[in-house]
Amino acid sequence: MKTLQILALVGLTAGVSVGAAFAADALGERQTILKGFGDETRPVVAMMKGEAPFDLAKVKATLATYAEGAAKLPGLFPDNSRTGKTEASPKIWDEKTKFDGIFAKLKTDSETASAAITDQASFKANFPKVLGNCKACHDDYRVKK
Amino acid sequence: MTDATVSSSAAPQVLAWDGPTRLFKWALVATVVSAWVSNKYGAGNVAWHVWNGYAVLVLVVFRLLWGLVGGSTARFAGFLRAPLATIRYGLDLLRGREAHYLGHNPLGGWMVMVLLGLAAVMGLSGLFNADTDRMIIEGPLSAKLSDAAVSLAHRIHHQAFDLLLIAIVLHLAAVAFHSVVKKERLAPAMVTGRKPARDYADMAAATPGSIGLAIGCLVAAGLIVWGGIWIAR
Repeated sequence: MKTLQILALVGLTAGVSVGAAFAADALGERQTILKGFGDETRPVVAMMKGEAPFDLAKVKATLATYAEGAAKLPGLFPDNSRTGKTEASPKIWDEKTKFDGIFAKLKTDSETASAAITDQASFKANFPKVLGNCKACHDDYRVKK
Repeated sequence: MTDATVSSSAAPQVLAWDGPTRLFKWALVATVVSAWVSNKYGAGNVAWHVWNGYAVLVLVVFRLLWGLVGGSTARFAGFLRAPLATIRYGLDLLRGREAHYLGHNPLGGWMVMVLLGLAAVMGLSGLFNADTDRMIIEGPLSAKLSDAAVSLAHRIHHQAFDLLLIAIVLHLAAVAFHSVVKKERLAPAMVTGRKPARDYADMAAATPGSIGLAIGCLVAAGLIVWGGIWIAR
C-alpha cells in the first residue's frame, strides 16, 4: 500500500514537472521561431526599401521559414505557458481559435506569395500582404515591453 | 396649422457653412475612418494608413489657415468664446434657454478645436511611430529615433486615438441632442450648408470664404506638411 502511495506521488511529481518543462519548452521554442522570423525578415525588408539588392532565393527561403514556423506555432501556446518571460498577451488564450487562424493565414499567404513572386515587381506587390499577418497578430496579441 | 406648415417649409434659408468648410469637414471624417479601417483590417497595405496620416495633417493645417481667412462661420475669431461665456452657454443649455447660433455654439466651437487637436496629435505622433521591429510600418521621421522615442510615439498615437474616439462620441451625442431634443437639423446643414433663418446670436447669415483663398490654403497646407517632413528628415 505504502509503495503504491509513493509510486503515485512520484508519478504526480513527474507529471507536474513534465508539464512545467513542456510549458517552458513551448515558450522557448515559439520565441526561437518568432525571433527567427524577425532575423530572416530584416534583410528582406531592406530589399523592399531598396537598401539591399533583390535576392529571389533569399525571399523564397524566408517565405518557406514562415510557412514552416506557422504550422508549428499554434501548438506552442499551451494553456500553461501564459506566464514567464513572454510578450504574449493573455488575450491569446481567450481567443485561441482566432489567434490560430492568423498562423493558418500566414502559412497560406506565405505559400501563395512564394508561388506568385518571380521578380522584384511581384516581390514588392506580394510580400507586404504576408507581412500584414505579422502586424495583425502583433497589434492584438503582442504586449509591448 | 396648414399655414404654419406652409410657412415653415417655405421658411427662408440662409448660408451657414461655405463649400470649403463642408468639404474639409467630410474629407476629414472620411480620412479618419479610412485610417482606422486600414490599420485594423488593411495590415497588408500599410502605405495606405501612412498616406491617410499625411492627408489628416494636410487637412488640419488647411483648417487652421481657413480659420483665419475662410468663411465667417469657419473663423476661429468668430466662434471661440472665453471660458466663462462657454460655461454660461452650457448652463443656459441645461435650463433650456440657450441662444441659437448660425455657426458653432460656444461648446461646439471648443469641440472643433479638441477634434482638430487630437487629429493633429494622431498625425504628428504617426510620423515618429513604427512597429517594435521597425519592419512592417514606419513613419517617415522614425528612422533616426531611438527605440524608446519610437515607443513613446507609439503610446501617444494609441492614447490619442482613444481620446479621439471619446471626442467623436461626445460630438455625435451633441449633434443628436440638438437634432432630437432641440429640433435643430445640424447634420443636414453640414451637407447643404444652409439653415433656416432665425434670430441667431452670432450672425444672420454667413459670408462664404473665397474659393481662390481655399485653394491657396490647401496648397500652403501641403507645402507646410511636406516641407516640414522634408526638413525634419
